[in-house]
Amino acid sequence: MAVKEVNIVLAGVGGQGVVVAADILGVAAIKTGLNVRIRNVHGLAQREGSVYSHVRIGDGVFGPKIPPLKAHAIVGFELSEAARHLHLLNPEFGILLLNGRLIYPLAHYTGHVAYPSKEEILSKILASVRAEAVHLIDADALALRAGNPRTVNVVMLGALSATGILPFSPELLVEAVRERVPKFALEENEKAFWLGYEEVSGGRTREA
Amino acid sequence: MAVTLLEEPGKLVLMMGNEAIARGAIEAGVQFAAAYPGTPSSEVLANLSAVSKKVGMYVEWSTNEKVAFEAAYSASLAGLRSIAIMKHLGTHWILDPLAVAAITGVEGGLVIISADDPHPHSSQSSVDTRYHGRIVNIPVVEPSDPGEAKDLVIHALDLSEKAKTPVLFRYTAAVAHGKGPVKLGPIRKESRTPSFPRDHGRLVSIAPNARVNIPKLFQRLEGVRDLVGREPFVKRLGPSSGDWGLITTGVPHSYAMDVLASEGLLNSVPILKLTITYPLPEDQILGFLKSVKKVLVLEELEPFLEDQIIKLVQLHDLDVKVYGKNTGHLRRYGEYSPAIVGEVMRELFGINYVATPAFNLKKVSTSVQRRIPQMCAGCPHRGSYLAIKAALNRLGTDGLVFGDRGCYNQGANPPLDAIDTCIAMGSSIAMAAAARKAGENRPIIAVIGDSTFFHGGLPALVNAVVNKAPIVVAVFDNRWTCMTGHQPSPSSGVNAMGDNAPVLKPEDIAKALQVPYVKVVSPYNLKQAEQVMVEAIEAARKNGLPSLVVFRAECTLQVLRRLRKKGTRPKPATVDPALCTGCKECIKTGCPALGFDEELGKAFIYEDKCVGCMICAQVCPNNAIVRSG
Repeated sequence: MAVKEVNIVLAGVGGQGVVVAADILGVAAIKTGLNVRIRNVHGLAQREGSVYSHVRIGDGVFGPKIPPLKAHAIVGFELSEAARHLHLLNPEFGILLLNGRLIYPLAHYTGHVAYPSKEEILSKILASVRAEAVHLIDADALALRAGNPRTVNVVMLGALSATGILPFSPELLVEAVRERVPKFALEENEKAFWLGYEEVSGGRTREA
Repeated sequence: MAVTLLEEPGKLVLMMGNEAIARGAIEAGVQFAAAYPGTPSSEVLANLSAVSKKVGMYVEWSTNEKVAFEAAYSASLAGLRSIAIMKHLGTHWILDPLAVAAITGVEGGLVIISADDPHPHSSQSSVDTRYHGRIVNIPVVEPSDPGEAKDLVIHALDLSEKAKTPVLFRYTAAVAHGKGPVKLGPIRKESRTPSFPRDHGRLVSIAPNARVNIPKLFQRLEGVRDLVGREPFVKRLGPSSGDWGLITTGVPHSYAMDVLASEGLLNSVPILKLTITYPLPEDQILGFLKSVKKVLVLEELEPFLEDQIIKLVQLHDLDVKVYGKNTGHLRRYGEYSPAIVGEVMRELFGINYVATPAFNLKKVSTSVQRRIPQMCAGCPHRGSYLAIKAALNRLGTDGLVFGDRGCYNQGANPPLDAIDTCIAMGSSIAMAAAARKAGENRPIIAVIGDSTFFHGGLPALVNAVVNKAPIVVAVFDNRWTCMTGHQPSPSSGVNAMGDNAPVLKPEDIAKALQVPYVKVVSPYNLKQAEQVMVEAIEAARKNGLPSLVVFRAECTLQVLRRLRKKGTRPKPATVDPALCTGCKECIKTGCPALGFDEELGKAFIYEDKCVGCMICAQVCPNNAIVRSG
C-alpha cells in the first residue's frame, strides 16, 4: 500500500501514556510495511510536565517533526494540551479527538498561572475548527469501564482508529497494542480500545 | 530496555535513536562502554546495561563523564572496541584527556557518543560539541535519524580503528529521542584479549614526548580524509547539477527532505549529504560546489560545516554563493524544523512551501500557559526544601541557597521558590563557598543531590574545607540518579552490570574530610529536619568551617515501583473539610497531589496521585489532613 503522509499529534500530561500510544502507532506502521518517524518530547513527564508525540507515517515522511498545518489529527488526552498544539492542525482536513478532561497544574491552584475553565477552553477550541472535525469523548470514564483507569491512551487509539484516517485496520492496531502494554493488562487494554472505537464509530459494529 | 534490542539480523524494527546506537555498538563488537547519565543520551547505556552479560560487554555508569571517557580510552588502548557516552555538558568535561588521546592515538576503535540538546529541552546551555572534535583534531561524524545512527556507530568504530584516532559521534535530541525503522544487522562477535601496551614514548605524555607525537596527530587526520570520501560519509542525491543545491548534515537533512517532498521536488534538487563534518571529504565537496550556483548549508547550532565550506570556496576561488548562518538566513541556536528550513528555501530559491498556521488556531495554541513542572507527589526533596526554608525563617533571614543539577531543580519553581542558582554539576558547593569568602554574610546553603555530589561536588567540598568556608552543604540523597531515569549512583549499592556494590555515604566522606558538624535526617520529619538545619547553620558560623546535612530518603518513584510489583500502594492522605479553613498552606508545598476548590474554599487531595508522604499534614495549621482509610 502506498501511503504518502499521515501526521498525528498525541498530547497529554505525564502519566497519561502518550509515549506508549505513539509507540503502538509506530509498531502498527512497521507491521504494515510503512515508513514511520516519531518525535517524543517528555523531558519532565514524571514531574507534571507536558508530554507530546509526533507520529508521521508514509513514504513522503523524512523528519520527526510535524510542521504547522500538516497534522491530519490531533489526539488530545487532556484539553489544555490539545489546545497547545492546535496550530499544527490542517484547517481543511484535520481531525480533533478530544478527551474532555482538564488537568490543572498545581501552579494554577497557587495562583502562579491561570488556566481557563474546562468550558472556556473547550469553547475556544470549538470556535476555531470545523464542527465536523471534532470528536469529544470521555476517555477517562471509558478507561474505568474497561477496568483500568490507566488505559486512557488505548481508548484514544481506538477512537483514532474509528476515524478512518490510519493506514491500517483496527485489528492490526490491536495487535500492536498487545505488543506494547503490560502482559497483566492485556484484557483491559483490548476492551479499552474497542470502547474508544465504538464511541467514534457511533456504536457501529467494527469492520472485519 | 528496548524489546527489540537483541532481535535477529535482517529484521526491521521500531527503535529510539538511543536504542539504535546501543544496537550499533553491539553489532560493532564493542566490549567496553562507560557513561554518565544525561538527557538526551541516557538510554544508550541503560539499554546496554540490560543486556551486558548476555552480549559479553563490560558496562559502567562512571562517576562522571571524564572518568567515563578515560575508562573507554584505557580499554581502547588495551585493544578493545570501546565507547564513552555522554550529553554535551559532559563532553565539555573530557577535553583534557581527549586532547591527549588524540595525540597518542588509540588501538581498539574508540568513539565518544555526544548528545547535543540545541533547543535546549533539558540542559543549562546548548554548546555545539562538534567543536570539541575540531579543537583536538579528531574526526566528527553525525547521523540524521535512528536508522542512520545505528549504522554510523559501526562505521565510526571502523574508522577509529583504521585511522587509530578517537572519533566524536555527535547527535542531537531529535535523533536521540526520535524513533524510526531500524534495519538490524549481524552482530560481530568480538572476544579480544585485552593487553595494555607499555609504550613510554607515546603514553607517558610529558612535554618532550608530546612534542614528538603531536605531528603524528596531523598525519592521522590526513589519513582520515582518505577514508571518508565515500558513502556513508558523503552521499550525492538528486540531479548532477542545478541552479541551487543543499549541503546537509544531521537532522536538518530530514527537514529539507520533508520540504522537498511536500513540494514534489524530491529528485529535482542536487543535495550533498554528509555524515562526516570534520575533516571534510574535500574532493567530493569541491565537485558539488562546482555543480551549483547557489548552495544552502543546513546543520543545527553553529556554522561548523558552513565555515569550512566558505573556506574551501575562497581557497579554490569558486563561483558559488554559500548561504546559511553567515548570511543571516539561519540562526545559530535552537532546534530547526521543516518550517524554518522551508521558509529559508522559499526566500532564497522561490519554492512555494508555506507552513504558517491559521491565525485563529495559533491564538488558541499560544493562549495556554506553560505547565510548570513540580517535584513528584511524595518526593523527599519537598520536605528537605521546606525544612531549609523553615530554618532560615526561624533565624530571621532568607539566606542564600545555591542549587545544583537534578530533580531538585524543580524547587526553583513556584510555589517553593527555594533555590537561587542552578549552574553546572557541582557548582552549588563551589559557588556557595566562594560567596562566603567574597564577604556575603547571610547564611549560605549549597543543595546538591547524591549523584551530583559524587560527580562534581567532591572537589568543591574539599575546597570549602581547606579554605574554611562556613556554609551548609545539604546533600539530598535519594539513592539514585533520578532526573535522567533512575540510573544507579554511588549511593545505590548496585552497578551497571547489575552486581551489588558498596553503598557510599556522603556523611562518611564529610567526616573523613574533617567537617565538624555532620548529621543525617529524614526529609519526611519536618520539625526534626528544620532543627538540624538551624544547628548546622549555627555550627558553620561557630566553627568557621562547612557543616554537612544529609537528607536521606529513597526516591518515591523507586519505592512505588517496588510496591507496585507486590501489588500494593501506600494509603493516600485526605482533607477533612470540617477542619480545613482554606488557608492554602498545604498547596504552597508544591505537591501535585493537592488541589483547591475555589467554590467551597477548601483544599482537596487527588487520591490517585497521593502516596501518603504526609508532608502536607505537617504544614497544615489545623490538623485537617489525615491518612485515609
